[in-house]
Amino acid sequence: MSKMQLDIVTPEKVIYSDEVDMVITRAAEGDIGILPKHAPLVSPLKGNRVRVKKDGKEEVISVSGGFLEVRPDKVTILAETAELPE
Amino acid sequence: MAQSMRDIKRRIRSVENTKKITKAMELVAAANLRRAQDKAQASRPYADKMRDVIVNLAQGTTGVKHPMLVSRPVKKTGYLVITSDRGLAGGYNGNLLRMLLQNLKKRHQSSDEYAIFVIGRKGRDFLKKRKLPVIGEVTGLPDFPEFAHIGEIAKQAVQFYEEEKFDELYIVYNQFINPVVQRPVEKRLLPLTSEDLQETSAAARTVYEYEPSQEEVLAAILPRYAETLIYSALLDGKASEFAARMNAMKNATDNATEMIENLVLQFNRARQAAITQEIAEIVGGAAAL
Repeated sequence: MSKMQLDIVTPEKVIYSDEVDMVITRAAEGDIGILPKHAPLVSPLKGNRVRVKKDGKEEVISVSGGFLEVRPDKVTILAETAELPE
Repeated sequence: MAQSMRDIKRRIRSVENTKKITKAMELVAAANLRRAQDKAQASRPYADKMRDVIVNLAQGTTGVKHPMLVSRPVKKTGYLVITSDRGLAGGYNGNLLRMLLQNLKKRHQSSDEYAIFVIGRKGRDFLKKRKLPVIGEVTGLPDFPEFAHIGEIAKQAVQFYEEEKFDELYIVYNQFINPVVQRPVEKRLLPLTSEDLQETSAAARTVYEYEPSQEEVLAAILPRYAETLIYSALLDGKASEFAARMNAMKNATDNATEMIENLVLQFNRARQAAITQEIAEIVGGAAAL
């Protein structure tokens, strides 16, 4: 199964940068799940949780405020603040 | 002679103590400078990414207009001035504030035509003493500020522009060029000029879908972008501050070293003179017998 690059970036630093299988979060018009080769999309983030699936495991990253930019091979989340799970 | 020898000795000790302090401050500033530069570097991906998206929006959507992209007649100007909280940084604050005053005088007839946001105690005290219209201030920032520390003042500045309380926003800060050179600059932040958004990158050529719509995404992202630019300027200013302090303290240390050398020379001369005189007295005394 192909993967895509996920970057979570805040003004202070790059919080997360890895190859993942799937990203699930809430965009302006509802929840979306993003798989590799998704159509390009830009949307503000509505929720404050980003679920990341990678090799069968799931992580939840907390974010606040920001945007989601999707390209077929790459997802970028621009957040004002973000916190990785412990 | 003995008196002046003691005086010289005391001065040497005093200058030595000062030198220790300036040397320590120099080392601290040098270490902080490196961290500040790293931080400025780390904030770049965020700003770059946002810029990509905005360039894409601005180019792909000729129909979309946003007040932040359009110049309007200027009735009132906002300034955001970034200074430091502490002194002992050479001309860091002085040069910047002098430039600001010159520009204000050149550009405006009266103080009704502008309003100033200020970051840093030095700038605030300076501007308040001159009774300039300061409408917002942040002081006591840590050495390595987070976005949250200036989030409020940045939001406020951008909001005042949106509400047309002023029609352009300048940001005044010390640009970090290299560890030896920092230049006070004034940049127009709002409205965002089209030159800023000219360059194209790979991301700018992608055709995106926008959720919910181009206009709304643009309206949400532009204020963020302006705030991000303010934050980068702050980080740049901090790096400049440390660089300026490092240089100022290096000069102070060098001067102290030179002063100590001269004083030691003076001390030795005085000591030699005292000995010579004593011998002359003994010889004179012996001859008299």
